[in-house]
Amino acid sequence: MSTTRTITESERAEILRPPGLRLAGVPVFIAMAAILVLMLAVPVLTDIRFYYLQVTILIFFYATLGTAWGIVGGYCGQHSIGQAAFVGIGAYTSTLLYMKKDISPWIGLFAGMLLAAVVAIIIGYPLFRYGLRGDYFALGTVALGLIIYELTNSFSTLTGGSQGIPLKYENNPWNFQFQDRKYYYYIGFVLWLVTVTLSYRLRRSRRGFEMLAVRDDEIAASRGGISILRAKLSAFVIGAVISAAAGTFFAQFLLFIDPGTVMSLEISVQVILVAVLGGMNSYLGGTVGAIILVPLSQFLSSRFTQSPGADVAVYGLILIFLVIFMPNGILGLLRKSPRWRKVIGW
Amino acid sequence: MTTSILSIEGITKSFGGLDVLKGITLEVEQGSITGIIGPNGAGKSTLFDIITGYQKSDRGSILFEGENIAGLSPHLFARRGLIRTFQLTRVFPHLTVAENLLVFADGKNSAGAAGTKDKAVELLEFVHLIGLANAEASTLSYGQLKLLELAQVLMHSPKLLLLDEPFAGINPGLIDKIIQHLRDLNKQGMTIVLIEHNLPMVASLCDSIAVVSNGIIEIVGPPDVVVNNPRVKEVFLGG
Repeated sequence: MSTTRTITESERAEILRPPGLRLAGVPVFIAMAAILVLMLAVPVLTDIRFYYLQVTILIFFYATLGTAWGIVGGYCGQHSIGQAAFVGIGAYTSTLLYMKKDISPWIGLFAGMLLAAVVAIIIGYPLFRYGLRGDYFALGTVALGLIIYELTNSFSTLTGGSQGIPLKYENNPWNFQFQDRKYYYYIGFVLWLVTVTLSYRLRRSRRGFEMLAVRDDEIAASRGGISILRAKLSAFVIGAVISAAAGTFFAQFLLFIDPGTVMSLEISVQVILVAVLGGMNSYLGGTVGAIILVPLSQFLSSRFTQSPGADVAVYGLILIFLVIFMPNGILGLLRKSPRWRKVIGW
Repeated sequence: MTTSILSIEGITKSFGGLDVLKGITLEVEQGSITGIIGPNGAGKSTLFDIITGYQKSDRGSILFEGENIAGLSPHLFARRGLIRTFQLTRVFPHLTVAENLLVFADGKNSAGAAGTKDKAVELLEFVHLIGLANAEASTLSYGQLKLLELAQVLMHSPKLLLLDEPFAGINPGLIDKIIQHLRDLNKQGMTIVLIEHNLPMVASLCDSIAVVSNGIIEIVGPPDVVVNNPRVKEVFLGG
């Protein structure tokens, strides 16, 4: 039944309050700040093992990609399965500029982001303009991923094809290269933090609100004056640009790229799993998903070294159970509480 | 002298071999409340779809404030001040009830006065949904969804409001209140066109009624003329 009553000023303020971390309360806020400080201090204050440092850097990488995918798939409802194409564009652009023209990967990072934006517009505009939705849009992005992958493989004189490109190494910060792996940790941390902050601010903005509306009902959104094309294209471009930045970071972290490493369908799927498991509608979903899935994946592959493929099978089974029992992801469990719903930006 | 805010001229629409609209011509006067009635399948909702850009007509023209609006993207209609509800409600199911309105607050989507956040709260109070402001819209009943959709379109203060069966599933006590609110909005200058099956209600609310049957407008005129028309009596009042 409908409820008829006049609300108090505090209730009115509560209804109008935008999503935000402040609603979590001071103790949670302090705890989160403490975790961030701890994350900054860990590599400096502890003698962290190389393996764990590498795993943590991979968590930052996938959390960044998962958060970026959350903007496209979670906020705007466009389930792209070709996100690795943009990771590859970022990785190859900065690497080729560095290897062929001796241009710093820091500059290549921005060139890759720009190229990813252009590709996202060229591909996204016709897909969205002519109304490719749902499964058809997903298939379109699979095609995008495959096209970029195959083109990279084919133009071997430029890209090294399936042989890949080993990056020349100089211990020089201007070349985005560091002997001490802790610096990659910090760069990964900054990349992740910037991405989460961007996603958070987007969720609180009018443009973010429009994306959610488009995700929920395109007709209701357009009826209210929201441009479906603009909302979808914005989300797609933002996701592409962040993924390209992560691609440059990944290339410099590995010091080697080939299509299978930086733009495979496997990466695209892993990114989606990270976002879905964490809760793709939340700006924190990618982070939560990466914190669980990346170590799990690493742990399983190290436990099943004698049985190739067994780790993937176990990984798949665990994911199936998680998705059955938590279809909205881990953070989705909080969405029924009005307060926590706003905290996580559901 | 009255002026038309909406002029519909010779609209036709076929689906496959089925002629749904066979040449609809209708003038909607500025500041009026016009009712469109007709049996199920007569083409009333299709006409709304064509007016608001969700379907393209095969032939004919539609002028809104004297300007041809055929072929515009649907989102541009709201920006010009023309907005509608749907027979089957369209809201944002995974947003909260309040967010369903706040998504349009302080925006530039409306040619009318853009709704403010305060207006969103007032509308939620008006449609008796304020107590459910933080609930996900997907949890509402059909009648509540109708009310939410009505509140959503009223956020825009449109010049022309098209309502497709706005009272279906709503409790009678609230219907009277909504009718009064629509009258108030109309007095403030909002033009309203509504599709409704309840003939006595349409007759009491509207300045003019158009009867759509078999893809054409059979009769259009003041309520007393239309209600007393033998053909209308036969179809709607059982003879």
